[in-house]
Amino acid sequence: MGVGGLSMFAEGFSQIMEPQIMLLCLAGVILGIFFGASPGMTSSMGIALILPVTYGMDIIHGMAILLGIYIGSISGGLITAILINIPGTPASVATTFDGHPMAERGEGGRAIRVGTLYSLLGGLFSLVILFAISPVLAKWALRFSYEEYFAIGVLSLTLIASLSGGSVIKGAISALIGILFTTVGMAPVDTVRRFTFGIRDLDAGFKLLPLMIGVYAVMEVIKAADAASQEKMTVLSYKSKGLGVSGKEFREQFRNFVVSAGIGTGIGILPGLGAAISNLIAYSVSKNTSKHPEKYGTGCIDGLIASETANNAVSGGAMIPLLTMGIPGDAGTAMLLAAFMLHGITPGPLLFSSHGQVIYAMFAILIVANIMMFVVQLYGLPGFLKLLMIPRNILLPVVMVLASVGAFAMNNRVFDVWSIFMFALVGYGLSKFEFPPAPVVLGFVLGPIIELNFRRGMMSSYGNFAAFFARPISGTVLVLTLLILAYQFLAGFRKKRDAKVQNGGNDV
Amino acid sequence: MEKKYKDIIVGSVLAALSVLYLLLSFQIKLTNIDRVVGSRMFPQICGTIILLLSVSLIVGGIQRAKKTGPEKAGEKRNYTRTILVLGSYAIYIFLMDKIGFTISSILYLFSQMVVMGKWPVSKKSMILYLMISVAVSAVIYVMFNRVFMLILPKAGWF
Repeated sequence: MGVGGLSMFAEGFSQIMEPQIMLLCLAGVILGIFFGASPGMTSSMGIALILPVTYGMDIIHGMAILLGIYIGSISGGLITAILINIPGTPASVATTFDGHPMAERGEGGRAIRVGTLYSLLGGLFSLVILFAISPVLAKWALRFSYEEYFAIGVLSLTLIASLSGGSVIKGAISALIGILFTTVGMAPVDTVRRFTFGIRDLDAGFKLLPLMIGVYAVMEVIKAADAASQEKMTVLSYKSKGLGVSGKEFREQFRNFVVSAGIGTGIGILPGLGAAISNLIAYSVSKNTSKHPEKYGTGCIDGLIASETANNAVSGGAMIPLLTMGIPGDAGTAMLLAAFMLHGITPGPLLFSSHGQVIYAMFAILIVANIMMFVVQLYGLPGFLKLLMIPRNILLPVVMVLASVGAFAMNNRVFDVWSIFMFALVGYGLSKFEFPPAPVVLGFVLGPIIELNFRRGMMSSYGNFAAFFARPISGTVLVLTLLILAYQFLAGFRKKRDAKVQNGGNDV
Repeated sequence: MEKKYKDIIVGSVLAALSVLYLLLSFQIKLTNIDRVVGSRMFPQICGTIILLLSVSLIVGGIQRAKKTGPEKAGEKRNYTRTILVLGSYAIYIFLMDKIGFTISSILYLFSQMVVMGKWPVSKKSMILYLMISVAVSAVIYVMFNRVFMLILPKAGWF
């Protein structure tokens, strides 16, 4: 980064150096850590709940609080992971492996400090990559046309469906169900009404916020109601001071840190993976390349550092496709995309030239939010632990009311609240049959991108689909997509054959 | 429901729904604006893929059901709370439209805290739930109406 880079930051910081923006960002970080630490509540839900509050703000004020939540929530999960042995979010599953044994040994405070420090470092690492890559990528993406956006949309969806865990067929069906919901309402290009059955409210189609709340939040309420006879959570002691690592340990862990941060950032850039997978991958890479893998799982800081570095490094990585191409990588960034749209801004390569100042302000907010997260999480820990003790039968109904208000206030129609209810039924049905919910959300976001660019591309090639393969970038991406599909198909086939062989063996 | 038939059941439901969706898609008007693709094609492609995937879910389910012998009946789950959670939410939305946000929220919060809490509910927690319900609804009302300047559902007389 040369002079241009520096002036970029100067401009960004000069825009956000306002007490109100700082306070909003701080509020966002606090809320985010709380959402992250509360089991069952994730960053995307936090953003969805707070989004309505930003309707009346300008984009930079709104982003201050939303990005604060985004950054805070990924790290907040470590509090419950370490002290209670329940990952606050899926992003901190691997944190429990070594974090909790440390706490059992009486090193809970140290584990929190190490985890928080490496959350900060991982987050900052990914931001450096974001700042370095995104302007270049945006310039490159300026040349993207309908064909490229179509191809990237299809690739993202393929990755999401096949990596969402469990059955690939079910992941794909989930994603397609998400797309089907986007076909209700006015069609792109020719604004023909589709599947509206003469109901006027359906003309505008469904909105992401009700979908998100319905599929995720209501599910949590149902789950919590099922488990009403909750056992009391026991919090282990967390007294400690300092940063948790000595200079010597920091040097020893440097390689582990860089590798984990690289994994996290890379996974963030790829659509569909997200923080939930990054921590597990970084943990296993760190373990497999370690000189003392046998210590992992007994409470060694290596595993803790790998997990917490990687999940926070996702944040900067996931912003790259979001800002440069308007393609969100996970449910959290999908919610951020919705927030942009609400404020009348469409992320994409043009954003860098048309709304450069917004981007620079966002970069500055991301840096500030990471630092705030570090300070708030270390010094506010006792407060967060008190908040976590709020019984779930009190907390979740309040969440539902807030969600309903938010859905209503978006367009002042009760219809949007009813659609929460409908999506809740869909989400409940899907979860009963083990369909993953995340692809529904991303299918819903990517569906319109894929359809619009498919139609425009087909129009410009006079109906020749081969044109999508004729351009170098879209062609490469589409071929890659086909390869992934073929691999998935073969892997499924092989698994079936192996199962057959094994069954045959058992019969004899 | 026996576990081994799960995929067959859900596959059949999805297949039926996607056929319905595909049939309905033929009602979509075609215009002169976009003669190449039209507004039907994309829904029809997606609907067809879901149909194919549902069928493969059914086929896979049948194969698995054949292989595994009869299962022991799984533990019976109690759906009372689930139904109460969904039911009270539906009533809440209905009431929100009729009697306004504040009162319906108080009723919903209170009933939901009871539904999700430990049964039987003690008198002390009843009072606590009621106080929290009123306070939360009031705070949200003031915040959204006065601070964020958003409109909340209002009944004509309230």
